[in-house]
Amino acid sequence: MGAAVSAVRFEHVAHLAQLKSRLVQPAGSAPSPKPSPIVHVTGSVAAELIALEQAEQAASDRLLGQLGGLPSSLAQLFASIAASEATHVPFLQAAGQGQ
Amino acid sequence: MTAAGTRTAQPSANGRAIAALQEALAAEQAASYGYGIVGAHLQQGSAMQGDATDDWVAHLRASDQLAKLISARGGTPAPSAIVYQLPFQVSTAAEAAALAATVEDRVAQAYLGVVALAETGLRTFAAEQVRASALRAEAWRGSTQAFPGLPPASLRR
Repeated sequence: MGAAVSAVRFEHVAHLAQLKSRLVQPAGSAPSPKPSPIVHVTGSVAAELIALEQAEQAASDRLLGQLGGLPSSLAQLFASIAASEATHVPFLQAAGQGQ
Repeated sequence: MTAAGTRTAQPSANGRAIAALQEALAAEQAASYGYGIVGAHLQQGSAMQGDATDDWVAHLRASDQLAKLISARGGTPAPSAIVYQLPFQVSTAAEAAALAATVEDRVAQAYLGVVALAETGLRTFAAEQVRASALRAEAWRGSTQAFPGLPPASLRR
């Protein structure tokens, strides 16, 4: 299962890199040094997996809800990332079942 | 405007929408054909063949939706081809699964053309189709992709 989680994490890193490349930083501002954690889980591996799956689905839904008004290329990127995040759900489920 | 005073006619927003929807329809029609090939190479009555049938039906329904959207905008949905060139030869179940995943990648890419349109309703519909295709591709491939439907050349380095 570690390999599956690593693969998913790798894709999130790629998502972040693409989103950051399109980010226009206002003058004088600095990016937040630490990302805000979204998932707080201190339970079993199964519970952690379920929390991850829920976070992936929520992130996918959130991106799809933000498409209106975006420039075309950014909307395409959001849609693609939303699709990728949605695929993490069955992928992690399968990895969990293979434990 | 181009050089020497020549002017190239730009398609209207409606024309661009119809063109993008036609591209998605063509991809859906090719997918329907592809799943016929996929199903023929899977064991009769197997779960995988059942999955292929479900996915084939999903593409038929999406084609119907796209045809309606095109007609509603004054366009004429293009008919499907009689036969399609497969991206690679299929003679085993594993190759059939690979074809299904490839077909889904192409469908996702075509729908991203619709996502590029400014109309929010079309954009949302298309993005949901990109997600559905990516989920089907994951099921056939057994792995995920960071950017379903986006050609690598479109990503920034």
